[in-house]
Amino acid sequence: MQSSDGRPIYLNLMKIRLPMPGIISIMHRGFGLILSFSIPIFTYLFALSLQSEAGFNQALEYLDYNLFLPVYFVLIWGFIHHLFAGIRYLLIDIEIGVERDVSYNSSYVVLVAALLVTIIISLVVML
Amino acid sequence: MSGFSGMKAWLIQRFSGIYIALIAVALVVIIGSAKPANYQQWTALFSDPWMQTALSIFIVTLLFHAWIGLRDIILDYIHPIWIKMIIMTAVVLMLVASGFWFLRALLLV
Repeated sequence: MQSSDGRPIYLNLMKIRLPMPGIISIMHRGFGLILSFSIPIFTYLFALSLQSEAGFNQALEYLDYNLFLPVYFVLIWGFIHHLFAGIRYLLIDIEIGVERDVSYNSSYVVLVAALLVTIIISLVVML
Repeated sequence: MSGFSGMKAWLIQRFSGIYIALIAVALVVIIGSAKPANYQQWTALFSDPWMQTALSIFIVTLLFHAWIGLRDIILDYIHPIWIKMIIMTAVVLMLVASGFWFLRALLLV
């Protein structure tokens, strides 16, 4: 497909090579969406845990349920990634790291650091 | 229905983000060091007036942050006006209900 001035337009997402700042940006958005929908779930668990002794134990049981472990991993990763990418945007807002090479490097730092911290937190929580 | 003007939303998103980040890290440190082992220790943590104040501001801030983010996503990808209105209304209801539920649980400890 081509536009009127001859530039190619790729509507095929597989043909668009998104650079790393773009990748962590769409991840920031996707994780933000997931985190938003976790608000009612955590509100439920929080309210349950404070309501009574039985509710507290019930909430702990839900948290211990092994089937949910991948969900918790994604939520922790989502929060840490959203946090680190958000800090990067705040720095760019105050004109730190706006240059092309710096912003490329910082996007890799966000991706790798978020994954590392997520793995460390997951290990600490599980052990 | 769109909620906030662009500049206002941009500012709220940044200041709410900073507050959410600070409180979230503080919560992990506080709960991690207090290591509440039972119901009594858990409720003691949240009946503290400083904790209640900080968390009340936290949930309101978090819901505004989520609303502005979700609104951006909806405006970018969903164009038919009726579907957009229905989804936006559902999102607002979900967030407002979560907020009242959270505050009720927190303040009745």
